[in-house]
This record gives sequence, C-alpha cells and structure tokens, in this order.
Amino acid sequence: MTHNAWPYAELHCTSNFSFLQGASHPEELVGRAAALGYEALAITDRATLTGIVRAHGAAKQAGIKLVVGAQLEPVDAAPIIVWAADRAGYSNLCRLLTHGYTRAAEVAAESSGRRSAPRPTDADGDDDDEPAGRTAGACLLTCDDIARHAHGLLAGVPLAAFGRGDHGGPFGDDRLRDTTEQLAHWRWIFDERMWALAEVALGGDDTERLEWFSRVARLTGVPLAAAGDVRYHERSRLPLFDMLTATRHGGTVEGIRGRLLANGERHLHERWRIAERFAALPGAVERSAEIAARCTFSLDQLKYEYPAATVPPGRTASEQLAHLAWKGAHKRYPAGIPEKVRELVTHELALIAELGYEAYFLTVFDIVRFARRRGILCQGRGSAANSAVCYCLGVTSVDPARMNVLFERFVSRERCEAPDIDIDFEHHRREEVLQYIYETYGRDRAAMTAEVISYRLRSAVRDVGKSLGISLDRVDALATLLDVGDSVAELPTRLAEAGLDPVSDTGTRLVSLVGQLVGFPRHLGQHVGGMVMTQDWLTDLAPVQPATMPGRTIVQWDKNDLDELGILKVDCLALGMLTAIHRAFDLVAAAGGPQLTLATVPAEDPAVYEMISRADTVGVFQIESRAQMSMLPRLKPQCFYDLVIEVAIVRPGPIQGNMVHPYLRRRAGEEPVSYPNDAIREVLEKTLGVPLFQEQAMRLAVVAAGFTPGEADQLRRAMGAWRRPGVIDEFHRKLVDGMLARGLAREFAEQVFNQIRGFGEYGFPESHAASFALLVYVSAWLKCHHPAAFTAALLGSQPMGFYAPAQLVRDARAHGVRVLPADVNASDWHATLEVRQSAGEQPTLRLGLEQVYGLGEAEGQRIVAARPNGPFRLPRDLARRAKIDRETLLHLARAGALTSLGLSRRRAVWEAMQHQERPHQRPLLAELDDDDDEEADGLPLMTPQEEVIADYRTGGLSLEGHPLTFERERLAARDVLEIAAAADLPEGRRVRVAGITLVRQRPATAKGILFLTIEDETGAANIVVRPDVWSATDHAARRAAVLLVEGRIQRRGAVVHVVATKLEGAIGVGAAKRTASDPPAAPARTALPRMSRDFC
Amino acid sequence: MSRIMTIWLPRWPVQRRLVEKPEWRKRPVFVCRRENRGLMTVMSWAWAEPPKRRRAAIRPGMSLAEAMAVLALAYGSAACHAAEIDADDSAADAEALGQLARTCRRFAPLVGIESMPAGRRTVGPEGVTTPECLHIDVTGTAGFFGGEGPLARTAAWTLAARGLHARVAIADTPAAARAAAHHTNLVARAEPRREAEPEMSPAAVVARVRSGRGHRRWAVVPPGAQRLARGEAAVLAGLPLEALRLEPAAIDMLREVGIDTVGGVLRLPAKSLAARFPAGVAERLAEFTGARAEPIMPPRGIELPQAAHAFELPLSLASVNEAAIATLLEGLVRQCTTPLAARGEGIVLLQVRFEPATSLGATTAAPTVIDAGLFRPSTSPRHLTELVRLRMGRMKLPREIEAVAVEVVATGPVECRQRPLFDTASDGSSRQAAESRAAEVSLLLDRLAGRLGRPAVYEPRPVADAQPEHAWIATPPGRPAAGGSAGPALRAAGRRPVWMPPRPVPLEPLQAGPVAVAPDGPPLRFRLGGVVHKVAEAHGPERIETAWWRGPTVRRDYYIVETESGARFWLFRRLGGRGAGNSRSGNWFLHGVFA
Repeated sequence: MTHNAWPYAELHCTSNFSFLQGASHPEELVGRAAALGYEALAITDRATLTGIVRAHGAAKQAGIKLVVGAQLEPVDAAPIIVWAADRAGYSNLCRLLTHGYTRAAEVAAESSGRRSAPRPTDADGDDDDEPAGRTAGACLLTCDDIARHAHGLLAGVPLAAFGRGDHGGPFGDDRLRDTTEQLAHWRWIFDERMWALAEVALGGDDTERLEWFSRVARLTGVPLAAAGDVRYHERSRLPLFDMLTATRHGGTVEGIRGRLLANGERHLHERWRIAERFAALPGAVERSAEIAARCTFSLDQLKYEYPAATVPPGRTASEQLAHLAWKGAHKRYPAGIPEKVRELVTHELALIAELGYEAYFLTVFDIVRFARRRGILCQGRGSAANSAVCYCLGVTSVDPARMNVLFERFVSRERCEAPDIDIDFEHHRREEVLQYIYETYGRDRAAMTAEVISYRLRSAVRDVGKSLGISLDRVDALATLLDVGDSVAELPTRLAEAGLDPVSDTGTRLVSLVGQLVGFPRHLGQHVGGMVMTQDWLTDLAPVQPATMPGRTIVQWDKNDLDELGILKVDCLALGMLTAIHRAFDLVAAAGGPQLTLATVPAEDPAVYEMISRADTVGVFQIESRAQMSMLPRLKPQCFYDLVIEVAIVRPGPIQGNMVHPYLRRRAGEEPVSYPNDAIREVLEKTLGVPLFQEQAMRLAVVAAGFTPGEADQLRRAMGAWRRPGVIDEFHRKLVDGMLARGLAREFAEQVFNQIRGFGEYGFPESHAASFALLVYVSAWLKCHHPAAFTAALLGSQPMGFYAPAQLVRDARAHGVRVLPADVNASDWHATLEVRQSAGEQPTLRLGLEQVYGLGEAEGQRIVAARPNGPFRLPRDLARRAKIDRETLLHLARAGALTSLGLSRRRAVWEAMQHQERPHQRPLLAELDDDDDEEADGLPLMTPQEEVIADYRTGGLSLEGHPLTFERERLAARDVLEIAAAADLPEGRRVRVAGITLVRQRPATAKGILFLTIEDETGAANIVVRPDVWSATDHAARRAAVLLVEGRIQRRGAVVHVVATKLEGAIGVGAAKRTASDPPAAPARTALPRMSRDFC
Repeated sequence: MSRIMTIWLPRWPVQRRLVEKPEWRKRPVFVCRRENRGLMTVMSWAWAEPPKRRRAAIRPGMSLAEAMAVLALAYGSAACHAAEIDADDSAADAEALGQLARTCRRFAPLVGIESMPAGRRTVGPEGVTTPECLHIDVTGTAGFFGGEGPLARTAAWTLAARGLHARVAIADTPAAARAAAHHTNLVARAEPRREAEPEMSPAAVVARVRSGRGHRRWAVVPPGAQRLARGEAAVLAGLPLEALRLEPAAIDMLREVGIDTVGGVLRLPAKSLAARFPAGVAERLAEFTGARAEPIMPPRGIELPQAAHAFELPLSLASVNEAAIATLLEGLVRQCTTPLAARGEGIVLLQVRFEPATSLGATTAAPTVIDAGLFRPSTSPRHLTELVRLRMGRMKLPREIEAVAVEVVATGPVECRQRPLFDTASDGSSRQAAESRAAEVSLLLDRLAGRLGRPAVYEPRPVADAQPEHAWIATPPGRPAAGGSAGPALRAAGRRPVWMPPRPVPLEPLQAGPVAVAPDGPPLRFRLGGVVHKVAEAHGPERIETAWWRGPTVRRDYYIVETESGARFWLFRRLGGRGAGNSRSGNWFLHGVFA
C-alpha cells in the first residue's frame, strides 16, 4: 500500500453477523475498507465472532489487516469495544464470550421472563435494548467478567453512549462526572491499553460533541481515537438498515420511525472526510491506526490439535488401533481373514500412522462402540469410513470382501485435510450419543458445529413485507406463492400474482430490499450433527454458546469456517431409516420371527432384487423416489453392487454430467465399451467406462491429465458453488491441456471436464453409496418378507422418507396387509402388529395413536398406560383416567379414535366439547350424568365423504376410502379417467386425470421441470410439468390439494408419465387452500388439506 | 310480539362520506386509521369501474400502502392518484348515523342504533368498528304504509333517494331483523310467493333486481319465523351462522359438528349448547329468538333539545337591529341549554337555521345554516350566541327570514368541580385563577375558531420523525391526541425553530455568486424576500436522510445561520442525486426562523 496522508483504521464496525444490527456482509466491509485504503478494519460484532472467519478470508484476499474484536454490552456499564492484541487476548475474548452466553442461559432458565437490568444506551436513537423475553440467546456480562479476562485485550469506550444528558442540553455537565468515573474504572482495568472512541455522524451538534469528548479526555487522561460506529459499507444500505431495525423491534418502519437513525452516515467514509470531520481532535485519526498496529493477532495463529485418545497403559495410540483392528478382523472373519483384506488393513494402518490420524479413528470407534453397547443402530459412511479398518472396527457393515471394490480415495497423503467419517444413528436416539461425547470429552472440549441460518427468499419477503407494513395475510400469501427454486428475479411476477403491483412504490421497495437481504445471516442454528473436539480448551479457539436445545453447546463457527481453519469434526447424523429398521427388527422378533441385525439379514436374496426391479419400492430407503423408481426397471439390479450404482447414478452429478444414458445403454449391451488407454480402463472398468462416483472423476484427472491427487481434490473443491469464481477456468485449462498432452482427444477432455464439474458438488462417493446401498438392501428385504412390520416401523419413525403415512398404508394394503384404525382402546402410541393365531398369515397392522393429529406423545402414552385397568367406556372416563384435557379429547374424537366407545365421530366431538377441564370447579355437577341421548339428535350425520375427508384432516389417511371416489361422477362427466385406466393407454394419447398431489419435486438437474405425483382411488401417476405450463397455471391451482391434469401419455419402458399441457385446481374437494384474494367460502370440513410433500 | 325494522347501511363510514362529498363517488375511497403499523384502512370502497386486470381484493385492515399497490395493479396507477383517503372518525360516523336515525323517526317513533357485542370494536376481517344498523320498532305502525312490505320498500327507497344504499328487513326481534337485512336475498328466496306486489310496475321490478348489485334491498320475515316453534323450515333457518354475530371460534366449533345454518343451531337444545359454548352464543341466540330482550336504544342526539321562533310576517334582516337578533337567539339558545344543564351537559355543536321567506310562486330556497362548534362543552347562552354572531358576520344571510331554529347537534359533559367551602388564600386563589384562565383560553379558542373556522385552530404535538415537517401533527386544541403518536419523541440533538413554514421555501437566486463558498459548507450570503442576508455565523450541518419508505428519500444538510443583522434562520441544502456538492441556489431552502 502506498504511503497515505491520512492513516486510518476503522475500529468499531458491526457486520450483519450481529443479527439485524448490521446491514453489510463482512466481505463487503472488508472489501470497501481495502478499497478506501484503510490501514486495518476491525469487525466488532455484538458479542459474537461468527462472522470473523469469513472476514479473515476476505481480508487475506483483499490484502488488508483484520483486527479481531467484539462489542460487549455489560449489564452494569456502557458498551465497550475490545480488540484481541495477541493470541492470549483472543483466548480471553473467546472465554469471556463463552462465559457470558453460559450465564445468560442459566439466568434465563432460573427466571424466565424477568427483564434484564437497564443499562445506558447509544445516544443516537437506536437503543440496543433487546425486546423483553429474548434474553435466552444473549450474552450476559459484567464489568468484573471483563476485568477477569482483560489480559491481552485492548479496549475502546465509545463516548457517544454517555453524552445524552437527562436534563438540559445534550452533552451537558451532568453526565460528565458519570462518564469520567466509568472511564476511570475501565482505565483501572485496562491501564494504557484503552482509548476513548470519538464518534460523530452529522447530528447538527458535532462541534459541541467533539468539544465534550476532548474535555472528557482531558479530565481523565484517556487518549481519544476516532471511530465511526459503522453499520454498513455504503450509504445505499440505509433503507436496508432501517428495515432491519424495524424487524428487530418487531414493528414497521413507519411505526418505529422515531427510533431510526436520522441519516445514513454509518458507512465507511473516505479517509480525507474522516480527517476533516475530526480536525478538531488532533491525533485522534492517526491514533486509530496506531491501535490497529498494536493488534498483532491473526486467525492464522490458531493451532488445532485433535484430542489424544485414551489408550491403555503401555501402548501407543498406533498400537492400540492396530490391536483393535486385528481383533475386529478376526471377529468379522472367523473362518480366517482373506488375503485381500489382510493386505488392505496393513496398508491402511501404515497410512494412518504416517499421517497421525490414530486418535481420530479411535474416537470414531469409541463412539460407535458406545452406540452398540446401548443398542443404537448406527453406520459409518464417508471416504474413510469404507475402509477395511473401519469394517474391522465395526464402524461400517459393508464387507470389503463382499464387494469387489478398491477404495482409492481413502486418506490422501497430499491433502492435509481431515479424514471424513459421517456416522448415521437412529434419529430418536442420537441425543444419547451426543451426550456421551460431551461427557467423555468434557464440555470444555466438545461442542456442536454451528450453522448460520441465512435469509432465503421466503423469509426475506416475510420480514421485508412486515416491515413495510404489508398485511400479514398478504405477506403469507406471497411467501407461499414463492417456490423454493425461485430467485429474486422472479419476485416481481410473484408479487403481481399475489395482487400487488410490482412497480408501485411499495412493490419496488420490497423487491429491492429483498434482493439485498437474501443471503444475510439471520440466526445461529446448529449443524445437523457435526461435533468438534479438541485436545485443549475449545473455548481458547472459539466462543461456545448453549444451544436452544438443553444440554447442547455450539461453537460459533459453521462448517466452512472450520474447514477454512482446518479443524476436524465428526458428523453424528440422525437417520430415520435406521430407526425404522431397528423398530422393524424388533417387531419381527416380537411377532415370533428371528432377531435380526444389519449384518445378519440374509444377503443377495433374489426375491428382493425381483421386487426392486419391479420398482415396487414405496418406503424402501433411497430408491423410493420418483426418479429412482423410474430408473429401477431399466437398471434391474441383480446384486449388491448394482444397488451401489443405483444409489449413485440418480444424483445431480451423473445426471448433469450426462452419464446416465450411456451407462444404461452399455449395460443393456446396446453400446460398445471402449477405453482410450489402460490407465483409464482401470479407473472406469467397473462402471462400464462411465464415471459414476466422485472418486472416479478425481482419479480420471490424475491418470488422464496428470494431476496429483491433491490437485484433483482441489479441483473438486473449486467446483463447489460457494468457492470463488475464476479458479475453475484455470483448472479447466490445466485439465484439458494435460489430457491433450497425453494424446487424448479434445472432445474426450471436454467431456471429462464436464463430468468433474457435475461431481463437484453433487457427486456421491462410492463409499457413501456403498453404505447407503446396504440400508437399501435391508429395508427392501424387510418390505419383501415382513411388509406389516416394515410399514408399522416406518409409521413409527415419521417424519421420514418420500411418502406420507397415507401412501405407506395404502401400499401395505395393496400388499395384502390388513390395517386397523387407531383407537384409544386398542392402539399403542406407535403402530403395532396384532398377531393372528393361524400360522403363516400376515399379522394385522394396528395404527398407533401417533396418527392422531394434534395428540402429543405424553398424552398418548398416558392413554396407553391407563388402559390396563379396563377399557374406556365413556369420553369422561377416558379423560379422567388418562388425565387429558378437552382439546386432546377433541383431537381424539375428530380422528375417530373413540369409535370403540360406541360413538360416531361427530357424536364423539359433541361429547368431547362439553368435557370440563377442571371438574372440581363444578363439584355439584361433576358427577351429574348430563349426556342424555336425545340432546344430540340435532346433529346431522356425517356423509361418507365427510368421514373420509375428516380422516385425512386428522390423520392424513383414511381406511374408509379415497376422497376422489366421491367426485368420480363429476370427474367422469368432464372426461377425467381413473389413473389405473390411464396407465394402460398408448404413448402420445391425450388424457385427463385428477388426484391428490402427494409430492412436488423440482430437481436442480431438470431445467425447471416440476415432477408431481398425484393419486386417486385407483393409483398414483407421475406428472411432468414443463416450466411454461407451470407459469401459465394460476396460483390457486398451484397450491391446490387436488389437481386436474390434462396432458399426453409418455412411456419409457415400464414407466408411464403424463406430460402436462394444462393444470387446474380441481373442483369441490380441491379448493381448500385459502388465498389472498378469496376468503374461504367452503366450510372447513369438506375441504381437503394439502397433503403434498415438497422437495423443490 | 313486536315487529322491528332494521336498516343496514353497508360500509357506513364510506357511505357517509359519499353523501357529504358526492364528488368522491367517482373515485376509490379509503377510510384509514393511524396505527403502529402505519396507516391502516378501516373501510374501502372500490368504486364502480370494472378493474382492468383482475378483481381488486382490497380488504379492511390492510395497510394503505398495500391497498394502493393492489389498486395500482387492478386499475393502473392513475386510480391511486385519484383515490381519496380520509382519516377514520368513528365519532362522526356515529353522529351521522344518529342524524339519520332522527330522520327515520318518520317511520316510527322508536329508533335505535344497533349495539355492538363486546369485543367487536377492533378492526376485524369485516372491518366494522362502528355500528351500521338502525333498529326501528314498527309494531302496529306498518298499516300506515300499506303493510310491512311497502314499509320496508319505502324505507329502502327513501334512503336511496338520499344517495344511501340501504338494506331493510322486518322481523320480530332486532337480531333477527339485522340478520335478515344482511341476507335479504336468501330471505327473499325462502319467502313463500303468496304476497305478490301488485303495485310495482315492471320497470320498477327490473330496477329493483338491478339495484344493489343484484341484491334485493328489502325483505319481510313473517312473525314467529325465527323460533322454529312449529318445526317448519322457516325463512331464517337457511341463513349462515355469521348472521348470528357469533365469535369466530364458536362458528368453527358449530361447523365442525356439521351445523352450518341458523336453523341448525336453533334445533339444538339450549341446555347442551350452554354446556359446550361460551356464554356469548346463548346470549346471541336468545336475542335472536326474542327469549332475551334486546332493547332499542335511541341515540343521544335524538333527544337533544331544539327551539324555534317563527315570525308572523317575514322579517327583513336589514331593517332590524343586530342586538335584537342576538337577544332573540340568546333566548332560543337558553331554551336549549336549560334542560341540558340540568343533566350536567353542555353544548358542543349547535346549529342555527335561518329559514328564508318564500315569496309566492318561487321555489323554496334552502335555509342558511350556521354550525357553531366548541372545543369544550358550554352551558353559557351568552358565549354560544356570541359564537353564532361571529359566524353570522361572515355569512351571506337571506334578505328576509320567516323563522329562526336552533338545534343542539352534539353535547358533552360539563366539568363541574365542587368548590372548597373555605378558600385558603394561597392555593385556592391560584386554582381559581387557573380555572378562570383555562376558561378564558377556551373562550379565546372558540372565538378564534368561530372567526377563522375550526380547522384553522389546532395544537401541534411532537411526533418522533427525523423529517422536520413530519415531526409534529395538528390536533384539536385541548383534547388528548387522537391515536397514539409514534413512540417516544425523537431524541434529536439538533435544535428546532419556533416557526416553520408549511413547506420549505426556496431561497431566491443571487445576482452574483453562489450561495455558499465551500461545496460542503454553510451559505455566506443568501436572498430572502428580496433582502440579501450576510451570514455572520453558522452551525451545522445536521444531516437528515430518511423517509425512503413513504416516498423519495429526503436528503438534507441543515444549518442554523445567524445573519449580520442578528436574525437566525434555519436553512438546508438539498443533497441531490446529481453531485452532492452542488451549490446552486436552487438547492437551498428556508425551513424555519428562530426567535
């Protein structure tokens, strides 16, 4: 950087990671500060370091120094800014913040609802009082806390927070004493490491302010430094900042206009302007640069150490791992370890030892061992997981001997990247595993990864709409109109559909603000399962705060931040299918079958593959989706490895890389398989010359273009969407040149590049696919041989998978399973099997009380627990014995779960309505029998149609019939065919079908094509909707529960689609969803709720 | 059993305004209230023009900004510019409905305004915050009009002639009649066809069908029909549940057990209803069937006193002494104040009508009306008369008058405090002094208002807003501010002048040289009212950037400047999009003068 006349560093700058209090991304702030030639920029967010890693990366790129700091708001003093001068100071800052968050959580737990103590606030109209009742996520600090952690920290006290006098003019004498006292206190803590920050923003009294500041400085001897209290990088963000302020206060911009800042001066100014503004305070501007110079800490200084494993005395970690691996190997192969496996294990152990990853593997082993002991089903996946070592350790159940696979991309020497192991656990029981990790490694050393939840289009529209004063109805209508795939560019169209003029003033403001807001961090959530563990205190590394879920803590950085700093994490994920498989195993055993495990399910059962090839896979893991189902009859899997390919092939990577059809053709023998050279043959042989797995694409770069494996992996990461642009082009050139140099055709080279590009983000490594394929096989085996148990287990593990309970039950019934409705006198909480006496017959499936809409698990369990004392005879009886309230009784009645009490559904609702929640309040009447039978004679009976729709409304499914049955006559009059009949029509025939929308899916690979699954009483149909057809469909129809589709039949092998030419919201049953312009006309009880599961 | 005629005036707040300002009929009209979320529409009236693109769905409770965006989409932005936006004034609505009630006494003496069930006063989905119905007890009086049918029809058409869209129904109870009035079409359909209407011409039938967007404007419910005593499917049984004015939650519960109509509810035993539903349901039902009497409450205005004096011969105003007229007026006013004072009330609004003399053959001319409004209820005939006289001085009165009528339009309670028996000298006198001062002030205010008109007299109240011209609102003096002012007062550091022009005044260009020297600095010389001022000292700038959400962003740099002559002005430079350092005089404005 050239010599500059006005050296300046902005030391007080709030990014948008101080949620709703800053209006620019850290990257924008850093970039702007660099462009303005600042010496340094400090990001001082409100008690958080969440945005600091991003700022760090951006600052490195922009070549400007980043000062790490935070704004603290102690309860007993004015706000103070602290900056980390060195590593020790950084640790102290992290510990201080951790302390504050922990305390806030404790206080919130102790006295929920009490307001925090009052404290001085900014002078400039934006008081930072959080609205009451939001203390949970706050950071609660006192001056003493800061004093205890002051070592290594520099401090700045913004004087503007003191200036407002209670009486008389602003900046009067009355606050002078208070101010000097507080400054003296800080001075006592920080000594010469503190400054008073002078901040002015053209308030009309800047001269007086500056005078007052220098008076304070003279009186206290604390030097003054210039700062800006920056909230956004450019003036143009003022409206967005105002909008965020309104959202923070829960009001509209108009409603809180008195609290807005009067102007947009809180941006990064040019240096000459700053020099001019602070001309009255000589030295203040230069001092800011001096302070920044004293902060020598950079995030690059952080060093991360993986926790050492606990090892029995007398053994090294390496010996312990080898010991366990070989012990496991002997257990896995009682007949003797195959030579191939022996070689693999030896090789892998050597590699692990070389890279020093023993502790990591021992940790994973330890976690898995814990899960096994507790009987929690789990399975590892990820590149490192599908190693022979991991199989021997019991981390995975995919036998390296059973699959003829080489795990090329295991742990690479060149990449100094952590090995990657994800472990899936039963989703109901993962919490036990997490708590085990906390206990074993200590809460100071383990925490979950954070996930920064950002504004998406829908949430942005909601908040902006509300702050502009648009009615909640319309904001909701607009938000529901937005498809998830929509971008800001489509917002004007959607606005018009929602009945707002996009070029009106309000419309323009909405569109522009939403465009800026999308992508802003909104709050800190927790990652699905990433656990970070450290050798030393984790709180030296980053602040840790309690999560909303009790017993969990999260580190303030997300996955990408950890990656950037090279910090290892183990992903402990929750997988519903594991819960379901476990449950199904138990149900099978309880019904008199064998006690199965993942490893003991009979392998390679032809009946299972036959079923899979028919695409009869509703409920089966992974291969139940529309796309998978349409692939199955073409691929016809015959062995386990075919399932691995099936799982991997229906992924955006292979689809975008255009690899699916070549593979299918070659598999069917319609196309010869050829390889440019032998090295390439070796990589691609097992998938017939088509790269289907991520590893293959990377290997191709190595063998065809001469990349080192490390470079190949950089390439993969460069393809990721969030990485910087420009890098891809460089790799493109390098790859193509490399291949040309090796004598390969340019056409082939370009093709490989495209394939790698496709894999960059959406590819499936073979190891993942193999782990998943095992669950595919096991669930398919269960479906094939124990459909009742399988369905019951799936129902008990909701929400999961592609289909709603209604379709699962329907499918089970189609496979001959008898299903009984949920009933208070017969059902458990989960679905159960009622075993028949006669052998060989399928057990009957009894739906659980969990199907009853609105019923909580606690209430459900109380009902089940109260039943052994005899069946319930009256609603009152049920309510008293199970201690359930009126609302719960109503939910049961509505769902028809009181049928065994001899009450029709409507009668039961009527009875439940009069139930007194607290009978003791009417002691005289409590025992009075007030349900005389004639009184309900006025109630009309329910029609069968009402019964079915009530079933759908209260449980999502009906055993009585299908809602469309009752519309069939009317539909037939409009030439609407039954779906079963339509499926037999020849290709190209025009057809009209109608059905309940079950699934809406818009894969990223399908160029905006929407896939719908609709169902009528005869079956389900796949609908293909092109973008033009969809955009011609009015918004009521888009959200309609029942769709009427006009289109042409398209046949691909055994798979039949209807390519839609027109969509309509169907008559009668369909018009359920309320839209902005039409208030609900139909009484609620004949309207069908929307059933669709959306994967858009 | 009594017979009640209910007159429903849909969207009364809008209708009232359309009657007062007929030119608004050709425009969209919004009635708005300032709430914390901004200006919310209370009522809307999409005028009769067919929308260009799609049905405009403007509903009460929307924000005005949103309503405008919807309107713009449906009708184009021209419609927005034409739209009339008026502040909600439920007091005026009620007052006007009371006036209407008075004219409706021609149908029967007992006229009342519907009572609102508790908890319904907030802006609901239907947006009704003020009563919209009149109940008239027409028991035994229908005969004068040729039966109930003709009576209802007469009522509907009488109001139509006044430019009001009304729907009329006659039934046994106010609740039943109200329900029928809201659903005249349904009632008419259910009505047996025995009563033909022989006196209606075919054209009238067509007109009726076409009127009110295909709605029948009137209906008669036969006696006893609301009770279902004989189990017959009576006329009212088919009405939707909403007709009963039940809570939405209760309606949902009834729907759930399959009951969609009034008849369905009536069929249920009262005992089982009481056990299941909140008390309001049983009450509404009892009012509907007549089991619980719902009294007709005449609006206060109906009982307000009036007095008139008719001259035997037409009186030429030019020939009489003004004092004589004042004496006459004062006598009339006293006739009105005396009964009011006994009730502890005073006059807030007084109307005086001078009926012009009619010469033979000439059409009757409209009377000259003088409204005298007060800021505080008064019982003093002298004070009231003086106010009327002040107004008379500014009005053109008819040459000859036949009669003078004084009518009290609105009243309010008179504050009367008990005087202490022993006035201690110290604070007693000061309190008395304060009281008399307050009385003098209100007298002064009334006089000013009488001379200048009521809108000219107001009290500014500070509002928290960065833009100076929006930082205060005008409220009627002496009353608490209507609607909450937004939040605490702005903690602006900057000082504000005592006097501000209604809108910023552009500074005149100087012959030579720019207004300011430095591109960012204060002005050195400027011209105002033809006088060139030289700046001796300047404070500032105070930068204001705001208001982007209600229009174009306002961007200004304010300076307090002291001229060499010692005057202090508040000037600002408009920061334009084209070069903020623009110093042309066109960008400088005067926005206040300091005392």
